[in-house]
Amino acid sequence: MQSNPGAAVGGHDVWDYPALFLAGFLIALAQYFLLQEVTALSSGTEVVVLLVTIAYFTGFSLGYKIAGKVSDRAVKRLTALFFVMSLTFPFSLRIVAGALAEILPGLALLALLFLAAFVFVSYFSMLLPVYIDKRGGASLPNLYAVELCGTAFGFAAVFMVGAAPAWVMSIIYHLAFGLLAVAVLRQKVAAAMVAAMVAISAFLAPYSDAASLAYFYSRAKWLDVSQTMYSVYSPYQKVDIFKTEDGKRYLYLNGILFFGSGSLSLFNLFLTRLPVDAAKPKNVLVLGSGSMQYISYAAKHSEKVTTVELDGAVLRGSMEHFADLNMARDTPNWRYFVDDGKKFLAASNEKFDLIALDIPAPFTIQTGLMYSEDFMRLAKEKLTPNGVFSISLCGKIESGGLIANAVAAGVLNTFGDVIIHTPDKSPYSFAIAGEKLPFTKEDVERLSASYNAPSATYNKEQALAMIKDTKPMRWDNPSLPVKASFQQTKKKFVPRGSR
Amino acid sequence: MMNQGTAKTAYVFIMGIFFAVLQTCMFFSMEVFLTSAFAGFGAVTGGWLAGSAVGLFIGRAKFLPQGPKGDAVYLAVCLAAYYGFTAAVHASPFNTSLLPVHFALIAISGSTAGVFFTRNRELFPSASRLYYVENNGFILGWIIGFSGYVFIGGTFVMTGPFIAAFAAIATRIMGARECSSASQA
Repeated sequence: MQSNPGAAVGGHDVWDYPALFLAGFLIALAQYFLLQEVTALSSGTEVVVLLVTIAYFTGFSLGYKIAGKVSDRAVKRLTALFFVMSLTFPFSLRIVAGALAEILPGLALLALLFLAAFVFVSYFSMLLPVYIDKRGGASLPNLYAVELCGTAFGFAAVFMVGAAPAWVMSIIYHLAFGLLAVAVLRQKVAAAMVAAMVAISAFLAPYSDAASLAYFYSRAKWLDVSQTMYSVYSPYQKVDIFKTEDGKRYLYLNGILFFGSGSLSLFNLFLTRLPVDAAKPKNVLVLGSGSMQYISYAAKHSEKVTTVELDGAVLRGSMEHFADLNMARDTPNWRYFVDDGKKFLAASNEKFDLIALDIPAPFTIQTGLMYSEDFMRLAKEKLTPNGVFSISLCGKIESGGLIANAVAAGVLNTFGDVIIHTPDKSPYSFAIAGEKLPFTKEDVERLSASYNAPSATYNKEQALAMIKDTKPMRWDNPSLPVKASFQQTKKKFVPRGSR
Repeated sequence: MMNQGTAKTAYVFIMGIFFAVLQTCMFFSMEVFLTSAFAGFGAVTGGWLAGSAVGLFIGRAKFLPQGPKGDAVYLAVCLAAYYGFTAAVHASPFNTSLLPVHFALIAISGSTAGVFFTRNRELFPSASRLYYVENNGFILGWIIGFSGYVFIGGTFVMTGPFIAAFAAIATRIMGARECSSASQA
């Protein structure tokens, strides 16, 4: 290592290679770690994911633009500036987002997009062209290949540490950036300072993580968090489980509540318990996990209960922190698979008496695929002759909402026998469908009443009249989740009091 | 008629669009017809990165076709691999045992990106300009790819990359003609 402060940054120095490798590594980490954080802080629907992705790529352009104009000294100064700034991530993002969301959630989104565009990757993307231009165009293949290798290692790291607590990712990020700063600055004093700062930030990471999350959720979601029970960046989403001062537990997926409120407890009751009580199925398949409260409902009547969940982090969090609700560990006839629901169904040779879909509402293309008619046809193939398919419409059919009607249209197009019901206290309607349901509309009404939540219930003809000519979601036309997500994003710019 | 500078910029910009359209179509095909799991994402990203890295060195080979004709050959190989991938995914949906085949086809497609950067590294006075223009095209291409799949669906997946590649090579040939007429003048 050179100790001369004036040494050229981009000279023919071997330190250029580790610097570019680390820049590539950090580009991958930023894409998964920081963008996932921003997505979660903005309650990530498809439009938010798109905006964040565009902002991220804009950051690259900014870095390339700067690269053509900076001197060696400026590169060093920018390295120090961005490194110090990065030590505050992701904690400072939560503080900024929480403070702004309290005024207007749209402001928080804009601020986060600004940060994504100007801070997360612009510095890393700047280094490659700076080094190439110093050495001449012939160096491009070697230098670019090194950066690409770093990016590949970054993605591998994301996959490997996906199960670790969220603050572990922040330590890896800070450590990698520290090493990059050392490789660029090439000064012993600077290296010692960087090492000290990384060590302090690593020591504080668990506390900073918990405190900043609690601050954000108190300001943006009015949640009085007393304990962060579980917080991880899985390869798919940010998964957070909190306990509040009043002892309630909440599960958030990418910043969107998936379990915890009263209405979401009703969700489990009507999505799984009602069809289980009505059909007494022997072989039950539930796609998605959440709190997995359905295990305790289904296992009593069924010989086998299977959970298929794409995100192993949600499954692990649920088994650990909602064990008293789902009794998963004490249920010998329960099994689980970490897999894509579509792929699992297509590959399965089993027939099921009940298939229920317990996944977030279709505000992303990924979840939209599971609420599509194509998916329902796949599920229908795997049902026994009297098998039951259970799904939430993610809204009330009576309200004529975009999503509720489209999900209902998929069910009505796919199955011969359909009952749609809206429980009294629930914000959602539910569809129970099959080729020949082993119970009647009256049975559903009777069971709903027995849960103290009488339902407005509709048969297939009544439901068809309600949705009129609404088209279902299709794998080939996933525009609906994007439209619904756009509506959600627009709401962020409406002051809370006027909604 | 474009001047040489505009033609170069347009070519690099449209190649950025092409790479993004190709990637978005690959991601959506993978997500819909194979798996939404990380393995699918890993195959697309890993295949593209590996192919790009190898392509950087392929692009240095002097014995391979050069000039606009050479670029057309690379784009044709890239498209052939892409349509091979799409056909494999549609012919055998949800069959993840074919992931190594998908990975290889994506890598062949991705190698075009590496070849492109190596062969065009002297196109502008600085590498930063090359990356800047290509990345701006990539951003627009990402928006086009996303909107194309969302609002047009499978038709876009089949036609989008071909149209983008056609636009890129047409711009490249036009640029070469401008260059040749300028040198004759």
